[in-house]
Amino acid sequence: MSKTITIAPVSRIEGHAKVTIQLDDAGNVADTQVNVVELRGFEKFCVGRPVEELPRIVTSICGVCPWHHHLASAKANDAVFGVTPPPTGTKLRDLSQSIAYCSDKILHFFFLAGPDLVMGPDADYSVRNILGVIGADPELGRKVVRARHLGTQMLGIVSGKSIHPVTAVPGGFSKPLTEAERAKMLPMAEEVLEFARFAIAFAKETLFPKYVDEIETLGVIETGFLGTVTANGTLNVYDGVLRLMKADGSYEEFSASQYADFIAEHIEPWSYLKFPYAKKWGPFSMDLDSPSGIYRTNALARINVADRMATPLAQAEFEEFRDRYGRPAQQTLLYNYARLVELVYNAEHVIELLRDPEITGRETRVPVTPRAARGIGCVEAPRGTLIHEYETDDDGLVTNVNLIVGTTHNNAPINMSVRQAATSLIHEGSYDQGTLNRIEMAIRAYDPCLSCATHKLDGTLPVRVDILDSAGERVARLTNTA
Amino acid sequence: MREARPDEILPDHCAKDLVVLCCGNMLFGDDGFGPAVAARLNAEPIPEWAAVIDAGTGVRELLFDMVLSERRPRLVVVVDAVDLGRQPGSVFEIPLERIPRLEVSEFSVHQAPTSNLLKELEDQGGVRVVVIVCQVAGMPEEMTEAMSPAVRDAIGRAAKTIADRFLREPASARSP
Repeated sequence: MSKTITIAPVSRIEGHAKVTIQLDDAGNVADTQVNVVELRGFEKFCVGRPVEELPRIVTSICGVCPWHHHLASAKANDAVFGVTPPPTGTKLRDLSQSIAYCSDKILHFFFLAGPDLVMGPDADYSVRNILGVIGADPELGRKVVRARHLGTQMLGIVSGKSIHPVTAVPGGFSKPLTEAERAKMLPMAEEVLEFARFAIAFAKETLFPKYVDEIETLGVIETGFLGTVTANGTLNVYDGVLRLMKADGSYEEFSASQYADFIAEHIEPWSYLKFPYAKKWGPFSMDLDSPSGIYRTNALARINVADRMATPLAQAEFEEFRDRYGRPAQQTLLYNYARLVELVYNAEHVIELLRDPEITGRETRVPVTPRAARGIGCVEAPRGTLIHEYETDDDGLVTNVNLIVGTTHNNAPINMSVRQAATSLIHEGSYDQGTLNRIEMAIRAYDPCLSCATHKLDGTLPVRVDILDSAGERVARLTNTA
Repeated sequence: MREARPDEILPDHCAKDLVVLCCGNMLFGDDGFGPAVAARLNAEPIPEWAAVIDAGTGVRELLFDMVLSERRPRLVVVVDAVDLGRQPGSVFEIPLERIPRLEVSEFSVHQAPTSNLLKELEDQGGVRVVVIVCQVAGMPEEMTEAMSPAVRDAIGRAAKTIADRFLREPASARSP
């Protein structure tokens, strides 16, 4: 028996991102597939439960995005019960959403993107990580931790807890914000904004200029984009209409409740995860030369579909981004840049909301009465448009649930970016571990949530690349597993 | 360990001397062992120098802060559920040094290598890490809150073991 302990994952949900690369007779890439698996059994788990329990339950779906599931679920509940939260209740939800966004953006930029950008994609894993970066700049680490904790503290003040929130309820928000709490939070929010400004300046001046070539080449594909905007086209992460933009920049808009009229789901036999696509754009195709129906979500999509930002500093960053990369920007690595623009916006928006007199109003929720209904709730989660759809019977018990999460929208684009990366990197059967690193970068730009409900003590394992010859026999396996 | 500056805002998982991180997903049967232990421990008063945290499936976010922070706990106890083929419901400690350090790149915080972060805490951060796990009876194919009787019975035992072993005297009083 091996001396190495392998701790088997306790969840049945597999955490692999299994990448299969099919070579032709000449050793060039003929096909690629990215297999990820999705949450299983959630619908069945929910059926028969009171629908008002779902905002609490869904926070356990994902250890990273609990707030966004919580809020989408609360909005779906509003629709099921046929109520509109009072303005203060809506603003408290919006406030929570933007605070959670700030923490998420900071974490992902410095933990995930930072190492690639600072150390370079060819650097050895032993240094291509956040610790290698922070080791050279302990003060940076202190700033990151402080900014993140300010977010956690603010969420604690608004809602009592940050990890498994319970305060967004059908009809509004269960806990008003006091004037003393508002006063305590405001300087915290201002400090988070100061950090956001530092972060984007640091990235623009120190990191992005080194990767001009990679940004223009790695994982670049041409797709449409989906994101949420207000009635005048301003980016919004809590509420608005969905704007679906083609690669040529033309777009149409629809409400979340109409999503099934605009978004269809394609199924591939080799993947458990569905492939959403734009219904009206023709048959689904991931062909790199002539894709059809493919759109992307997440930060780059939101920046692309928006006409403007709601806050002044973010607007300035947005204009600089658009002036440089155009609309819609198709470079996959620009997701990292777009995340920082969104960080600035959300940090400003938190301050904006805290200065709004209505934020301390006492009327935060309206009563609800069970009924048979169908309701759809939608927010922009950091990883993309998040849609919760519920149906209930006369007693308000759940009869049907459907979720479309951000990473699912990006399933087809991730596959295409991997194919683009593999095709450009593998020639005449020549590949090495560096191939895996580059493919990882293309996937990582999407910040995918591959297995929300899975946690694994030993950390295994994000990716396995199988190389198949023209006869379908595996000739090599590149893996970062033990 | 550096003392916190007066104006410094630090989360409990960085500021306390002892942190018990209870991991798992309550929607997946026996995987909810860690959160259940957290609930049991937090039902009793926790010493001022300690924190018991239900980390759910988000433990990597907390470990990330700990690794980056200048101020860290002296002792971190990780509580989790595993399937190592032992008697269901048995509670035991896994030596951290026997968990393989994987050459894993992080696609997202979901897949970040917890074992690597724990080792960084020990090796670079000077934090002692203890990993206490419970053998699951099985895992459901689909979501359920129902735990197996064996693991449900282990919750109280594990909570008592952790309380007796770690929460009786300050971590600062322990020898390294």
